[in-house]
Order: sequence, then structure tokens, then C-alpha cells
Amino acid sequence: MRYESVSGPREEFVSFYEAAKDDCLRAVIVSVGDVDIAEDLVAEAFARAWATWNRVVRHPVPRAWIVRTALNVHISSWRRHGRPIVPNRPSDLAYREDPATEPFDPALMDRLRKLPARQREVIALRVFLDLDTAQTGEILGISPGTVTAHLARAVAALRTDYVESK
Amino acid sequence: MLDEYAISAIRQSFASVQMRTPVDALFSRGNAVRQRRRIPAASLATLVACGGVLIGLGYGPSGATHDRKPSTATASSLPKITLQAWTVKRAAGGIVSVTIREMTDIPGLQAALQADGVPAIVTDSLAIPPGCTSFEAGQYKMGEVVTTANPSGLPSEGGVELLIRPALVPQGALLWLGLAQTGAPQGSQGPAGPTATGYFTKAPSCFDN
Repeated sequence: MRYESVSGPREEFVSFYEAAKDDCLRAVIVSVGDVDIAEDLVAEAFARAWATWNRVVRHPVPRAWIVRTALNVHISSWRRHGRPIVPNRPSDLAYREDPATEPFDPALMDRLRKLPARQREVIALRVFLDLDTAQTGEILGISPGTVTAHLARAVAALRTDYVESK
Repeated sequence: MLDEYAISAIRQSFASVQMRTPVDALFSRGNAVRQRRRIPAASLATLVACGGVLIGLGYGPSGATHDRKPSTATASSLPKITLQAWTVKRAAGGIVSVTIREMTDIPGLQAALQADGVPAIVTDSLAIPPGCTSFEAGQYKMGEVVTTANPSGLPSEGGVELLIRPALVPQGALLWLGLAQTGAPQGSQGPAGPTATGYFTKAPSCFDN
């Protein structure tokens, strides 16, 4: 979906941010496995979008640009640090003192983190950004058939590990 | 076929996740990103001072043979001098010579390289551009595809000088030139410098950057 202009660039950007921010955050959480890291990455991606708004607004799917940029920032960051900044243990998800206030089920997050990175990215784009297989494949640089295969495997794993246990 | 129930369960599980960062914080952060990409007046003054040397060495407008994008730099106590931000020339043996003095009009530089037969994507950062994926097939030969005019690999006095052999770029690959600031402490501005080269798989999404 191409984002449509409302008025000035600032108003355009605010409208885009309000409409897209939560979906982008959910997509990045699925990919990186941590809410606080994901929020910082998404904020950085939106800031970069504002810095080059005249280009981003013309992107066929600006929300996908945000998610892709956030993930690239993440990759660059762990390249600099020499390791991925992803929590390894469930206890590292202690960003909420009270589990009851967590915005999602930690058990699902654990299952998601066990999936291969590419499957998580496909879930992020297909499920949370609602992109079709062609768009997802183009953004990830893989064929639509590979997207379908990754999604099927990911959903099958989650269904077995998580959904059926609920 | 997709498992709609499982997908719905995943979606619902994240339904209450909300971004908390206020949009005003993004504006200030985005403006800082813009500022990081600008060459401050001090650097421009340095470039202006170097301009006479460059022109004297034959790197000025008369030396350019292909697409070039001029950048105007002025300083209150200096006459107005127009510098080439970058120059792309075809040399003997199918070599394309690139000199980058200032990180201006990077998309124009990319277009000039492509016009000269270099399947290139040029970015103004080290980050992998959105939509691009690593090229993982073929003979890479990066050491032969891109060499620096300065044998040390560092920028020359006249700027970043690269010699590119487009015929050696693997089929199906895009040559990536990632440019960042050099000659200045990290986080501040400085002259252009090559900081990364690599290959991406050719894809329409990679050209959106």
C-alpha cells in the first residue's frame, strides 16, 4: 500500500507513524525477540524515514521499509558488537516486572525465538504487515515460493509447539 | 495453505503491543540523522581550500569526461569556487575511474556508474540498504574488481579514487559501494571515504535505495 499524502510532509509523517507504528513494532519484536530493543530499532527506523521522507513516502510499502531498516540497523549493530543483541534465555525478557502486564504471551515469544531467522522475518511481514507473498519475497530477496514454504514451516512449528498446547 | 487459526492466535497474542515513543522524539532524532549527513561549513571551507590544488592537478571540471554533479562551496573570505563532488571517467582497458571528494548527490553518482556499465549501488552509510541481500554465488574477485588509486587503500589527497573493472563483477550481482565519512572523529563530519564494498543480489527492491 502506497502511503497517500494528506497535507505537509510533517503531517504526512505523523499520520503514517500513527497508522504504522504498532504493526512495525510487532513485526520487529517477532524478528529480534525483545520489546525494548525492538522499540529502539523501530524508533531509529522512523527517525531515518523522517530524515529521508521524500524518498520513503514514494516507497511501494513504507511500513516494510521501516521494518527492513530496523532489522538492518539491528544487523549492523551486532556486527559492530560482534554478536547478536538478542536475549538468549527467557529470563532475559524481564523488561516487565510483572509478567501479568506483559503485552504478549512470553511462551509464544520463546517459541518464535526458536524459529530460524528467515522464518521469523516471513512471519513478521506476512502476519503483522499483511504483505502478500510477492511483496514479502521482494523485500527479503527470496522467491514467493520460498516465502510460502518458510511460512508453512513456521506456522506448523508454532501450531505444534504453542497453539495446540493452549 | 495457511493455517488461519495459528496466524490469528499469533496476531491476537501481540494485539496489545504498542509503540510508546512520542512522534516528537522521532523528529528530533531524524533531524539529527540529517545533520550527521551534512558536511558542515568547516569541512566545506577545507574543501574549498583544497579546490585550487585539485584543479591544478587536473581534477577540476575540465578533467571530467562523464556525468558529474557540481557542488558549490562558499566562504565569506574566499571567492566562490565550484568543485566537482565526484567524477566518473572511462579509462583504458574497460576500467572506470571514480573520484569522490564530497558526499553529495549519491543517487547521481550511482546513476553515472550504471551509465558507464558498472552495475553499482552506492549508499551514504555502512548499513546494508533495505531490500538488498548478499550475493552468494560465483567468483567474487573483489580485490580485482575494485582497487584504490592509492596503493595503501586510503583516500588520496584528491579524494577517494577508485578503479573499477565492471567486466569482472559476477553475473547477477550488484556492486555495493558504501561510503562514510573519513578524516574526522566518529560521529562528526569529514571528507568522503570508501568504507565498504560488497555484492548484493540484483533485485528491484535493492534499487529503491
